[in-house]
Amino acid sequence: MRIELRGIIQSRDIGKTHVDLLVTVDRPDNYVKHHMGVDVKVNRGTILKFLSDFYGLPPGKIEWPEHISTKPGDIERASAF
Amino acid sequence: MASGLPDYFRGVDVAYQNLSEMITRPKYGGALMESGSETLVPDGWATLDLIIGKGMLYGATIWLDHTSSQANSYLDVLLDGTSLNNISFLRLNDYGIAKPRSSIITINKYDPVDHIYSVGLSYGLTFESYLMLIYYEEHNTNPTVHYRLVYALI
Repeated sequence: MRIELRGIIQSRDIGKTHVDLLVTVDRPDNYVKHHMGVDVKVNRGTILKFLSDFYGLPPGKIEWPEHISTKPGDIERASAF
Repeated sequence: MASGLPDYFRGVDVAYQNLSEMITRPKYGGALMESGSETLVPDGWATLDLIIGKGMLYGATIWLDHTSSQANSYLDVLLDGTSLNNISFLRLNDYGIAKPRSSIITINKYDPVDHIYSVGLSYGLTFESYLMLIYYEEHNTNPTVHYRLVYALI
């Protein structure tokens, strides 16, 4: 089984952050979305553990593309126009 | 411009075409939707949605409940670390930035009497590493912001 992480989605709703993961399973066009949890820690370790537990694979077998980072840059507040 | 065997001699077959340019497009996954509501702290800001990955935005709408004036507040969208909007609801309305795709963010409804504000995001925006939707509150109140966003990831 080939599992590749394709996206991490963090959505705010009523004061909580819902975390979802998008992966492809076996084929590059077979997308599956998983609900990882609410207000859970999001880092490489927690994501790999979640997917590893779900698919019964060692964490090292989960493919992680280079363009996916769990820490997008810090945001500075812009001045409104 | 393509040259080589014209298509009317045989079907399109890239192996037989002498193409000066070939454009390929990435294959996107199925459409996905995120939605939610967030109540802000006065004069604060909130990340409504963060999508990490490569993808394309199909569209988004953000609106406020009837509260007090939010004319000077604004919504920002960051693509791959670049902030793409700091134009308030007031300015979007003043300058008539309402036509879809005329700007990254366009105003759908501006009603300072009943305090109804709604903006939309242009479709077709692509991102290479992440898309972030942020609401900035500028009136020292705590409005509730609702959002609905449709996109696809590669």
